[in-house]
Amino acid sequence: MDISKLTDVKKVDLCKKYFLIGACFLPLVWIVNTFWFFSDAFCKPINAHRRQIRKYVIASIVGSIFWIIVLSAWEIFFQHYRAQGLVWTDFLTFVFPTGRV
Amino acid sequence: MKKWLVIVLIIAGIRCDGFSDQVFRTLFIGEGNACYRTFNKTHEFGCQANRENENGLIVRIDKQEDFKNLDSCWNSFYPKYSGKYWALLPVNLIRRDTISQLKSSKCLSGIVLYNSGESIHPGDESTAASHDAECPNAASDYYLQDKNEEYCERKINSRGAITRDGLMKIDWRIQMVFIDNSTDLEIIEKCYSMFNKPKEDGSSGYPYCGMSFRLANMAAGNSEICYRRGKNDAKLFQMNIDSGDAPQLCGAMHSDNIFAFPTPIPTSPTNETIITSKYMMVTARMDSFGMIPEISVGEVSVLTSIISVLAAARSMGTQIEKWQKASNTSNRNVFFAFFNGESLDYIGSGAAAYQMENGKFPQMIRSDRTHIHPIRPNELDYILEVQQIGVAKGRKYYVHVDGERYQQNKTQTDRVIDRIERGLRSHAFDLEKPSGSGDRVPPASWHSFAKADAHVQSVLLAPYGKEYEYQRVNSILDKNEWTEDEREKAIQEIEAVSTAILAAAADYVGVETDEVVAKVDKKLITTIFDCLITSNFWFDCDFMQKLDGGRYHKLFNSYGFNQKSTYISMESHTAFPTVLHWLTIFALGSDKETLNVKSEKSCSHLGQFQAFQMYTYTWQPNPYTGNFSCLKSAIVKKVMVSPAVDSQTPEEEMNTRYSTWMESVYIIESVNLYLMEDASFEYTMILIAVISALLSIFAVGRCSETTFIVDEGEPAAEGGEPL
Repeated sequence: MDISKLTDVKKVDLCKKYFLIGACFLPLVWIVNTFWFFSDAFCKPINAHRRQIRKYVIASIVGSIFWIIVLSAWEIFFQHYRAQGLVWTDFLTFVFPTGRV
Repeated sequence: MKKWLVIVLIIAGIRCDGFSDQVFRTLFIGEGNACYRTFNKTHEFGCQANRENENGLIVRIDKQEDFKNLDSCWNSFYPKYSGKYWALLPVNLIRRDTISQLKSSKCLSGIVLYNSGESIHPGDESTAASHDAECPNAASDYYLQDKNEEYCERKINSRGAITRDGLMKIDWRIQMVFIDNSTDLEIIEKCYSMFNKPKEDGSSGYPYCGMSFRLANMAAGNSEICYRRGKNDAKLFQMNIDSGDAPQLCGAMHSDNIFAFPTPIPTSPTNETIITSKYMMVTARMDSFGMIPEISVGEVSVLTSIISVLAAARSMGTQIEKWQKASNTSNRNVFFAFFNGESLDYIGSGAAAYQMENGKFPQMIRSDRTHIHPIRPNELDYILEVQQIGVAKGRKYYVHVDGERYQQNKTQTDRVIDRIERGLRSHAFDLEKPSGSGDRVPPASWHSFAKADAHVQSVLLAPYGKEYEYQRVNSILDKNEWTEDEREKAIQEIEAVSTAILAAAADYVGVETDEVVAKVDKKLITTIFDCLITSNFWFDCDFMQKLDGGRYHKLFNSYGFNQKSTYISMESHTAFPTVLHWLTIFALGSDKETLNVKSEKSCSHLGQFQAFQMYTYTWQPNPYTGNFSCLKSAIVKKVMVSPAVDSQTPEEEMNTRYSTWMESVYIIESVNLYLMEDASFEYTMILIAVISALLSIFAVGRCSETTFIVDEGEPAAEGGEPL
């Protein structure tokens, strides 16, 4: 979809929808929302619609960073303990590595 | 786009396999000939291939002094080479003073082990080469688990052990492969001699002879981890498209154990009557191991003791009526147990003790059938075990008892020991008797039963006192060159011990001792000694070939099926349990009641379709005549799995009262020999390859679609047909 052809009203609506969808534990949607509407939010002259877009984009950025921190922390934590072959880490592992713990 | 597609298709279409036989000299390595991973509850041991230890230049370590080169990484011989090495090493050079260098070397990829051909004699004291620990089975020791002793307090194998914990308990960084085939060994040696052997001035140059080998294990960590990962509920998302079950990463070491009951007691038809009898269990272990686990004949560790028990069993079998009558009168019985996996924390006896406690030994009971009556641990009076027969210093044997239990039942035990002494004396051997209440039982199957019952007594008969005299217990080198004198002495010892077993058993049951002590068949002992010990393979001698009668088939291409090995392994990949089973049937089986059975089919029907499941009927040849007959015996050949790693006994999972040894499933590849060129040569070849590729691209790039399209209409048009 080429959003440059959309009106500001539709852009706000789309940005809002993506933000709400991302709020359903879908951080990748927030990241897409951020990249998609970043120029409208921060690189073009401000107006009432773009202010709203900026609001959603900032919220998407904050949410994305939050998720990145949470997921990275979990990954480091999980991998640290997974390498010790603990019961709970094995339970959450999808494929056991062959020849190593 | 099409050009790229053509390039991709050409590259993808090239199969390099076709060139491999021109690049590599491949030597097939069967299962069991290489070091692989084993586990106990807490650790992993053995070898694993990785990028660092697959390839290397072949070097030789022929003598003690050559280990100096290991420290310098052979820099003086191969100054331009900076990679790793595969060292050709005779097994007898693995010693106390060399093992640390092998362990710590940073320039070894691996070692190629081979038998040097140097003969070792049973009494040879210059070679301390036991691959077992200073305290074998220390973690499973009754006294440790009963908190009477610290870990490894009695270093009984300190004279022979190469390392404190044994070579099987080392997590090696290197790989190991054992070459037993002389042709393969010659090929490697020739490759070394042609390319790697330094010239007289000490110099050498490219190309070198290199070797690659890879053994990849599936499992890692320890028994607990790999046992858990093998379960279907180990993962939240268990998705295995092939079978639906979790793939097997490792398996519990297990194999057949043999239990023979000369005078079996049947279960009562209704199972209401519990018969209480007393038993003496005569036992010898049937397993051994080496640094590469499977490479272990176990001549003294296993075979001589087994022969002495077999000879006693045969004597009993030839006059079974007397024993039966005495047992019926005294309500005391003797049975024979050959436990497997005893050198690995008592796998066989641990499982047997567990089954006894649960009323499942020796058979699972079905109420509608008659079986051998279950034996409970409290019914075991004595465990008479023999160990390391044939290597006594002089003519002296020792009896080992548990001091405290001995004091509790001194009179009866003294009587048993007295009969043993008489048996030994009849062959001019002396016996050193127990010294007092502080006596401890050396590593023996008794430890498993001692944990199950507080009264079972040990009577361990062996040619050592406080420490093992034989210095190659559980070792690749437990394979001797027997001189005529040494052979004769060993046979005498076996005969004496066999007589002692018979004497003690006869007195326990109530048979007149004098009637049986003279009945040990020395000729049989000599024959079995030559077959099992002197011969190169189990079925090389006439006696065993006749006993086989065409029944033995090498089912697997594994070391244990093609060579003499007494290692327990993870599957039934060794021939020895079959050999021992047939010998036990020969010793105790009888065809008196089955003389009318003339075919294998009718013999097997006897066992299958009867409610009386106490006896087995085996269509087996007589090893003297080769004539088949249907032998009736009460012999149970049973796979025993340690309860700690048996999926059938989840309540005992990883219980350290039992053995937790497991083996990894592994993929073994062949040894590849190849020529190693200097790095500059390889860079030149890469450059040529890149230039060739570029030229090819340009050549293809100049073509168009029409280059490859033959206009079939053109000749026709020339012939006058319209286009």
